[in-house]
Amino acid sequence: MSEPRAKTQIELRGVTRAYGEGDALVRALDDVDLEIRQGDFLALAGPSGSGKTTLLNLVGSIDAPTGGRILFEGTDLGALTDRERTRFRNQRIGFIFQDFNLIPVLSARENAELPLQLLGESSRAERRRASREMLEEVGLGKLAHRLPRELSGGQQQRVAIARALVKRPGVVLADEPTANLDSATAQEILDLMRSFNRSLGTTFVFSTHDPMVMDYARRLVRLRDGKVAAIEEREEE
Amino acid sequence: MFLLRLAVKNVLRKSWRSLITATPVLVGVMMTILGWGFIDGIDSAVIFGQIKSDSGHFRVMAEGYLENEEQAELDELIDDSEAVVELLRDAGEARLHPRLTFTAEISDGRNGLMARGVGIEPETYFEDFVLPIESAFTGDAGGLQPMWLGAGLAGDFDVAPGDTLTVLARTRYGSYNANEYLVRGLIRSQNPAIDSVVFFIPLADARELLDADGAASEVVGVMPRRASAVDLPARLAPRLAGAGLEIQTWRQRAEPILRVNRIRRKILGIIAGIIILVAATGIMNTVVMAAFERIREIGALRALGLQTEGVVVLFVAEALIIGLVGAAAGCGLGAALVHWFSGGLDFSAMSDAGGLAMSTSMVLYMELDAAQIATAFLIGVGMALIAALYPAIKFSRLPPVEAMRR
Ligand SMILES: Nc1ncnc2c1ncn2[C@@H]1O[C@H](COP(=O)(O)OP(=O)(O)OP(=O)(O)O)[C@@H](O)[C@H]1O
Ligand SMILES: [Mg+2]
Repeated sequence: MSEPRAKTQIELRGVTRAYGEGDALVRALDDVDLEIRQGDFLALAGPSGSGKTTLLNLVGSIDAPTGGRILFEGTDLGALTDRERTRFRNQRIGFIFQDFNLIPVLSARENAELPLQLLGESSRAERRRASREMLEEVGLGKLAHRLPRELSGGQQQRVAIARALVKRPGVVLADEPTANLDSATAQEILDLMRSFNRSLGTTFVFSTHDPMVMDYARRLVRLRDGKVAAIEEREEE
Repeated sequence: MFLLRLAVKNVLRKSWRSLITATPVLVGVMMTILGWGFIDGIDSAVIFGQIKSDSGHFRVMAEGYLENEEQAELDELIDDSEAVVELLRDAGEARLHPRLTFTAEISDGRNGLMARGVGIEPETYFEDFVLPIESAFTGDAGGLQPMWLGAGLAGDFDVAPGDTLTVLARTRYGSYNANEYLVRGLIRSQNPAIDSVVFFIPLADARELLDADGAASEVVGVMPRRASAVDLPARLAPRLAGAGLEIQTWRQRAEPILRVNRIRRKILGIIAGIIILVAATGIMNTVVMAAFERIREIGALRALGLQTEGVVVLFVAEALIIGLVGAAAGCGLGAALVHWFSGGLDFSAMSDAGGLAMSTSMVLYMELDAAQIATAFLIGVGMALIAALYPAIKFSRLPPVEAMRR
């Protein structure tokens, strides 16, 4: 499709993230410029140590750049205090982790409810309804009461997707979301992510080593040694 | 609220470890309650037993009597006990008992023993003091003056009610005088200092024996509540000093015991402190362990929007739950034990074996005190709170990226 270019949602300008100093200085990201557009389904690819996780952490504002600026829907993330950043994450960003990171003592539904709980702005009934609906949407309506350890890896990652989307964030960041799953399950998870990307217009940014996963991406950003090596626009199949 | 529920679930998830952590809290709180109950029990047994059987709540004596009490107790007597009773008429609701105490030798014709005579007004005295008369003689006295004998003393002579004994004593002026008495009853109080050395005779007979008409060693007061005696010295001192008299309350008299018990309380405080330190170390250790185990969970929660103080609340709440359970169980167990012992903890066998003649009841009654239990509970819980705070704050400061990398 040749629709007009969607508007920029997240903008990285000369972003550097360095660790250590002197001879031991490592630039995990080195002067990166990147635009992430509203509704993107974007994959970060690159060898181990190329800076994928670092980039996701910076965009997710759980880490701060040592140089450059990140504008998130116009907000300069570098200007936020720690409290503001935490609040910003809760309201605007969904996270999916490689090893799911569900809270083991909470049921699937309670895990999905977590971001709503942490802000505590909605009523109990609203939270329950939203989390239940979200679980239905990821196909786990019947397993809502189960604890994470009673679920398969794929089911746990579905709960994580429900948790990431329950607040309808503008962006979902996923660091190697399928690395711990077999390829059939990985495809289910990616299908699910892509369907939310289409139905809700949520931006998805995910990292991967896996060419199969890269094939799902509408845009592919290749990183190498902390720099953007290539950006590939892809046709949807 | 949500964090609290999460904390409860986390504590229950590691229930075994939680129990192990709660145990020293339990022990510390329980020991504190038991220790306090024990010391209060000593207070009660020694001091209150003494009040009930012997000393009353206060006594008024001639100035100088206290210094001479041990050697020459007849040197400083109240000359006119009636006047003193009159003087004390408005001293609270005290019931007043003039008493004449002296040293004497009693003899059954073959053996003699030194004993302590006390002249009293039997009708009122036996009403106000706890001096149970074990066996009494109801037959004809045949004109003989009556005497009531400590059961231990009676055992030494092998006399029974109805027998007679001779009492030999120095009069107030130094000459010897003797008289014969009929044993009317044997007294078995809980106070060995009475049962083994004391005999009672009517005050009038004692005055006659000692050639001390109208005199008394002391006027003893028994009050409805022991607390009302405490401010008597301040109220009565001027009046008494003018009459050459002095007053001593039960509390002043018990001061040496109270002082020892204050030291006991301090030692107990140190022991409880050590146990509580152990408990605090356990809590701290558990918080650190839990935080290390769940460090990725902390990272995830922080990423999802939990503020740093939320992390502190979560871990402190978990420690607090453990502390609450431990402290509550400690209070329950401590209170139950104290209650159990409040029926009396019998040391009689122990003291008989050791041949001790303690001037106290050999049965220790513990007392249940709500304020003490509440204090012990708060100490336990407060300790858990403080112990958890440091590691919780430490871990909450960890940047989420760091937490997720572990
Ligand atoms: N806290 C840190 N301290 C020092 N160096 C770090 C730190 N975090 C990351 N790095 C370095 O930054 C570089 C980029 O790391 P990053 O985790 O972003 O790579 P990645 O592309 O996600 O790799 P992988 O595919 O293995 O997950 C690496 O060289 C890494 O060693
Ligand atoms: Mg990585």
